[in-house]
Amino acid sequence: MTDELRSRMVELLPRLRRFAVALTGDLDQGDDLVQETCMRALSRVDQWQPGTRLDSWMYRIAQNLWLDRMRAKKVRGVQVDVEAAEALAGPNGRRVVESRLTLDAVGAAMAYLPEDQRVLISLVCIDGLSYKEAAEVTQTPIGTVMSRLARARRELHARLEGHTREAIPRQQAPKPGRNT
Amino acid sequence: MSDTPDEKTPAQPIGDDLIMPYADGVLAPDQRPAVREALARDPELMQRFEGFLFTRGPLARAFDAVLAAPIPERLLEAVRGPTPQRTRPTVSLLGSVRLARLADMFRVPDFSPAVAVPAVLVGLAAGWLAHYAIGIAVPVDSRGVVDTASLQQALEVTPTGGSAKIARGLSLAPRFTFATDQQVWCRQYALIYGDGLEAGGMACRAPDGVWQVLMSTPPVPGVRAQGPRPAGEGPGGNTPPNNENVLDGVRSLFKQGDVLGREKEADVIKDRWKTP
Repeated sequence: MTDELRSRMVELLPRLRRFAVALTGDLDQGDDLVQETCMRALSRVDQWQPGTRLDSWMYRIAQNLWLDRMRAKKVRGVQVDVEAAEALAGPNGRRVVESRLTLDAVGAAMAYLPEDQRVLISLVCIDGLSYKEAAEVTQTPIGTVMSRLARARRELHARLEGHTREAIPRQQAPKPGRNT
Repeated sequence: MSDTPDEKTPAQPIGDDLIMPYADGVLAPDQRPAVREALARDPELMQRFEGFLFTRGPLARAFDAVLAAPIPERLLEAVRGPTPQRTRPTVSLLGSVRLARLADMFRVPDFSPAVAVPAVLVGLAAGWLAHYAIGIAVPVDSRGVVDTASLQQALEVTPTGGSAKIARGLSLAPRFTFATDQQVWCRQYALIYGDGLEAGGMACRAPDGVWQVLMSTPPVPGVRAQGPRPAGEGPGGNTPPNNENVLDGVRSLFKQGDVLGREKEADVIKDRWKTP
């Protein structure tokens, strides 16, 4: 492990952290995920091929770790943060408009997306990866990436704009399914 | 072949596969006019287009604060590994009033927290204050630098009466746990060396969960290293500074209420040091 590679990982930390927070919807959990990702990456650094993108490789590790966590959570019956989702609509069901788009609001809305869609939103909409790059990270065909991403963005827009505010359940959050 | 509009090749349906790349600015130039026309004539498509715009810029901006935030030390350590010496956290545990009080304490010649403040502590504390003021990291242990993560973990989870190895040949043994009148948890501890020397220290837990070492005393022969002592003679004898007494005196100044008993301390550790 060269110092240069470690330096590149450090440079990547802000973006990796943002990606992790977008996935988990929580700063502490995001940091836990980043820490785990770094440790996993360092322990398997021989699997990274010099010349390929370090960020894509680490995003893939983070994504896989998070998906594993989510599967474990589902076994325990935890779905999404319903309280946070309820907070999204506000006391009077007011619209969440662009100027007030907060991390909490986005996190709560994203919590309703299936995991694979959340990953794509994080990669493309938040981190700015291209569809092709996102397809490489998720190891998914680009057509599938685009269809999932479009579906996720429409859903997010609807929730954050309040158009389907009534669809946000008050008692029970939906169980995200995996889309194709 | 007729060239009437109705008999032209049907226009490509405009769906998300075109609108989304158009909104993202990555649609091929030759496809853009068709999308523009479709958006102009179909409000529903326009709404979708706006949705794609919305979920790009505004959504990403909600995470700008995360991107700009300082990287937590634990993440840097995860990549770099523990560094031998690091900068003291900037959070002030005791506040300027308490710092001034501590500083005043060491300036007053006849001040005595317990019996008398040994000169060694005066020097250490004054040094600490100076270091604190100018932001230079203070080694936890005057004999060498202790791995910060190990020290943090030891202070975080080790009960009084137990000990935790924090470096090769060095263990930390908490002696007392107490709260200050500023609702801060503090621990007095001993650093026990493999060669029989013993140092002492006091650390308090900042709101961000980082234990900050407030003071440390130099290594002196520990109780076991000194062999049997005559009844009535303190563990330090008359030459080495009595570290425990020094720290006890300072603790008595900062402490509010009693030191924690084992059960209460176990609860506090279990609750991850909730505010007293």
